[in-house]
Amino acid sequence: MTAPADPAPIDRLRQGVERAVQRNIKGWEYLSSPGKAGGVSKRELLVKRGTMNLFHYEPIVEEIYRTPLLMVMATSNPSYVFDLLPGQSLVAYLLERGHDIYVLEWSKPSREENRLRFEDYVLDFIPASIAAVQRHSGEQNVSIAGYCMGGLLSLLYASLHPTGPLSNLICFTTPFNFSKFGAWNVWSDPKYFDVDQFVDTVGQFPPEMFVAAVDMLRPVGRVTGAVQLWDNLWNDDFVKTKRALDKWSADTLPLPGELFRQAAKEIIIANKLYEGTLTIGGRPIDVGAIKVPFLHLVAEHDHIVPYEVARELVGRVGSTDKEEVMLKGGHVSLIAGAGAVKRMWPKLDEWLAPRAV
Amino acid sequence: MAEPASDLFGIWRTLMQQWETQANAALTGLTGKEEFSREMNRSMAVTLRMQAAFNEAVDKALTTFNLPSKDDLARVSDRIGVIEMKLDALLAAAAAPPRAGGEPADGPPPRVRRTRRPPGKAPAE
Repeated sequence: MTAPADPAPIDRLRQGVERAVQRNIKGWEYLSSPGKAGGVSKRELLVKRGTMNLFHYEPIVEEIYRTPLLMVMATSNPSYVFDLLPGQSLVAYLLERGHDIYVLEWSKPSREENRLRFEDYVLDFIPASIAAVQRHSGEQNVSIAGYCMGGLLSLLYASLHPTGPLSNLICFTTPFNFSKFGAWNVWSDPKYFDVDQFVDTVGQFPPEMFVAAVDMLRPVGRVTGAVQLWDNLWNDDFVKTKRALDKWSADTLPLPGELFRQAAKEIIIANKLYEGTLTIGGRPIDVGAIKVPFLHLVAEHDHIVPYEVARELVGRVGSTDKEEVMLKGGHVSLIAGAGAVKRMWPKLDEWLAPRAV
Repeated sequence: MAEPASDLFGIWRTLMQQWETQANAALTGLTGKEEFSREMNRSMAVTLRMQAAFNEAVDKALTTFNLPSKDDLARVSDRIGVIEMKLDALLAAAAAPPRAGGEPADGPPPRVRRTRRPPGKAPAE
C-alpha cells in the first residue's frame, strides 16, 4: 500500500489562490473607500484652551479604581491612537478593567501659539489638566502616562512636582539620552542646521518634515509597507488597523516654532536633560527627584526612539518602585495594533491596577 | 525549521524581509553620514532664504496695496476660533442641567464607585 500524498502543498496552494481572489475583491474596496478616523469610546471634552484639549472617557463599569489616569499624548500626533478601532482601543481595554481615563491631547497650534515653550506645557497645561481631573473625579491623586514626547513632558512635570499630586508615572517609549539619537544627531548638527533661521522663516515645524524625517530612518518602509498590505489584503483586521494607523500618521501635527527651537537646541543638541543642566521656567530638572512608582515601557524594534536613547531613564529616576519593560514591537505598535493588545496592554493594567487603589 | 520548498509565499516573504533589512541598513548608512546632513541642510538653507525673501516681497506688495497678508487673516481666524470656543463653552454651560445634591456640574457620573480592587485581592476593611 502506498502512503497518501502529503496534503500540505495542495492546501497551501488552495489557500494561496483563495487569498489572491480575496486580495482582488478587497483591493477594490480598499481603493474606493476612505480610511476611518479613530476614536471609538464615548468621551467628553472637559477643557479646551488653544492647542490643549482635555477629555474624559465615560466609565463602562460601575466600580472603578480610585486613582484616575491622565494620558498625555505626544505633541506631534492626535490621541486617537489610544482609541483606534473597536477591539484595538487601549482606552476601551482600560475602561473595561475599571480604570478612569482622561486624555490630554493637542490640536494644531495657531500662529499665535508658535511662542509656546516647554514652560507652557509643563508649568501650565499639565498642571491645569491635573487640577481639572481632580475637580472632575473628586480625587486628589492622579497617575500620569505619557507617550513619546508626551512622556517627556510628563517626566519634566514629575521632576518639578515631586510632592504630588502625582501618584504613579508611566512613560511609553520616552527619549532621555539624546546623544544616542543616531541620524537625528547628524541631521541636527549645528554645523549644518541653523535652527534659528529655520524657525524664524517657517514659524512652525511642518508635519511633512517630521514625517519625511521618520521615513528617512527606514527608507524602504513605505515600499515594504505597501507590499505587506497587498499580501494581507485578505485579512480584514490587518487592513483596518493598517489604514487607521496610516491615517493617524497622515494626521501628524505641526509643532509650535519656539517649542521646536527649545527642543532642538537644549534637549537634542545640548542633551541638557540627560546632562542634568536643563531648566524649565528657571527651575532645574532632576529626574532623580521623582519618587513615585515609575514604569517605562519600551519597544524592542523602535526606530524613532531607539532603545539606546531610552535605556538610561529608569536608572536615573529616583523612585524605589521602578521598572523598565521591553516588549516586542515598534514605536507605534507598542501602543496600538494586534501585538499591543497581547503584550503592552495587559502589562500596563497588571502594573497600574494595584497602584491605583 | 526551514520553510518547505513548496511554500512559495513563505519563501517570498522571507526574501522580502531580508531585502527590507539590507536596503534600510544600506540607505540609512548613507543618510546618516555627515556629508548627507551637510548637503541636505545646505539645500534647505537656500530654500529657506528664498522663502524668506519671497515672503518679505509679498508682504511689502500687500502693504503697498493696503491688503491684508496671510498672517493677518490667520490672526483674525485664530481670534474668531477663540471667540467660537468661548461661545460654545457658554452655551454648553447654560444648557447643562444642574446635578442634585450640589455636586458640581462637571462632577463624575453618580453611578460610579471608586472602590475597585485588583483581581485576586481582598477588599480593604
